[in-house]
Amino acid sequence: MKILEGLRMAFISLKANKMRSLLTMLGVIIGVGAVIMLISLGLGAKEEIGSSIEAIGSNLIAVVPGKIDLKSVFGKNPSEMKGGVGFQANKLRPEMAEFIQEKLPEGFYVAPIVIDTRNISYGSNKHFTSVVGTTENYPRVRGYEMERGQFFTATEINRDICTIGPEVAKSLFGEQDPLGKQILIGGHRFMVIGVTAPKGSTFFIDNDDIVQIPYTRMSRYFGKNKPDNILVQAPSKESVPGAVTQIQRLLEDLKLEDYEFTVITQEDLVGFADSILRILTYLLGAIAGISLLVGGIGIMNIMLVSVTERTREIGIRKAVGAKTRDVMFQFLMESVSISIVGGILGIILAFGGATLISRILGIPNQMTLWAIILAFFFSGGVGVFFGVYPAMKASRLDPIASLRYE
Amino acid sequence: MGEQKDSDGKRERGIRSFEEAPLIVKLHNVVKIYPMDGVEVFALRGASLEVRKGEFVGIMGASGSGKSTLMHITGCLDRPTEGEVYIDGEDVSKLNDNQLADIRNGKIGFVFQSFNLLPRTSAISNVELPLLYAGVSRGERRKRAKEVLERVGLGSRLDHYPSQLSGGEQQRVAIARALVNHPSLILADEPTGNLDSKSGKEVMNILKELNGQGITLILVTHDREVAEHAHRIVHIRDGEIIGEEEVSKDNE
Repeated sequence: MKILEGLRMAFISLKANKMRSLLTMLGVIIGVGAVIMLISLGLGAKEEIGSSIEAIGSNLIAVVPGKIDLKSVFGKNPSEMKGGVGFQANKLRPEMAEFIQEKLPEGFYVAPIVIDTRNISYGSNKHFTSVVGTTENYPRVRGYEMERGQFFTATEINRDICTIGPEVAKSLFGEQDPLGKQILIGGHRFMVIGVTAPKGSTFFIDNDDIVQIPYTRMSRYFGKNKPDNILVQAPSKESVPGAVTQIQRLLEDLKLEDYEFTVITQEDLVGFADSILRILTYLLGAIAGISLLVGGIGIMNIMLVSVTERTREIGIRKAVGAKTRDVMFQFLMESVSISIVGGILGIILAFGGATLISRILGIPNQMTLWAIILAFFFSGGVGVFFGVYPAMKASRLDPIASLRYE
Repeated sequence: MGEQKDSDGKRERGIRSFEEAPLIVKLHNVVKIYPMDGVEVFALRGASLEVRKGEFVGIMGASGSGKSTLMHITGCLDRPTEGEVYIDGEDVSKLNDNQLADIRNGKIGFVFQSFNLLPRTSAISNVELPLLYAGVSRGERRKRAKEVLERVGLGSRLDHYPSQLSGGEQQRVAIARALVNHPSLILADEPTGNLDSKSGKEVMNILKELNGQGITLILVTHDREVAEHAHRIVHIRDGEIIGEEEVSKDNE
């Protein structure tokens, strides 16, 4: 019998039990939908993270407190992950940034980063945002441009001044010019001397909803005198590895007791993000796979019920000349139709879901043809795999017993 | 389906002779044993039967006499435990399931007491079924199914579902299905058993008409009146053929 003929027959039979067929498909729909959605979102996120890390600033090196081995976080030796951010006394000091800056050759820029979150206000307009305590090197290191005014200079490091991101400017000042205005940051008065140009988001953190103040003010008003990290901007990609060793040696030379720090490069971050994403993809992929498996079992279950229900039909077909393989083929076609239609609906679901999620979370999704083709054939495979046993059972029924079956 | 050479003369009263016609069914010492709860049950104990082309043979027996088993074996739905079965000269007792399916498909048409039509399937699609397994193309199937349905007087009911048809009509669809692949033999198992007397008579008339056109007919029944439509009645009891009688046609 031809495949088309078989498919036609299978669809007629599935149409006779619409609700049941749909419910049986659900497992495959969800499974396939999840697989494609995760693959497309995963690929999108991977690209996004790559460009996000680039957007932090290129050729960046970060010194962070604690001992972190990005390569072994998810590797064989998680016990090596001593300390970590916040779990161990942070011994970074703003002065270290100056120290590193002095020792590094021309072209390197170093900025300490102290992060806090505070309420800020201008008149009756209030806003809650991140406040970064840093030095004059910050725009260069993080790749900020100024839209209006300018960033504070080395000589202004002890003044109560700030620069604000465009989002903050919009929220506090609306259409007004913020330059020269006094705003309250955590209850302390600061003068706005600049507005940074829009930069977008990195890692879901809005680079434009932020306020920068001199690190000395952070320590004085908010009690935070330890940088969360020290960022170093290298002049070229080639200079990064050398600088990493140099910074490590410099900090070791300080011979501070119980001192732990880690020098991370952008490449480490990309690798780290990739490995997290890969683990996440595998994990979610496994869940999606389980869902497909469950869907397949559902198909098998329904097909077994269907074979029992249609024992008489099988008897009739055999009596008029259906061979073992004809009956086998018929039932196999039905299970494959269920799974393939389920697969197609799953692909449609994934399209919708991925578009929706990428819109909500602001990450791009990459629908790839290979993922769709893979899912399509995989769902077909599920139909074959879980359909073989019921189909074999049907094909082996004895015609006389089947004809008598009530 | 070759025209019977004496088909014009066969309606004459009295004894007809099929002796020159070739054998279409030959059962020789057929034994069928069913294992049932570890005990062997003899359904047939050495039954022998010969049916010639164009004959109409009634098989009579009480329930449990083995007449259904005889029909199943004749119809290639089952294999004998012992003995030989020839259909159209071919020994089918040793054939495998798929070879038997081919014989059923090409040479035998079944008419059952309970019609055995596929539910939720139109009359014409039911009739097409044997052609589907014979590998006939879709257009050709439609055409031939339509022809036979018209032949049994259901030309206006092609797309009706079995549930929309009366018992008599359903049985006529079943007869059309049995006919569609030009079988040399039609096996009818109590074809009027589920019908009222009027529909039963109609169905019997159709079957007799088909026989008149040269199709060999074997009819299994426990009803004497139905069996008397045949040329010859074979009596079966306890798995053995206990006698045969020629029917003189005076009761039409």
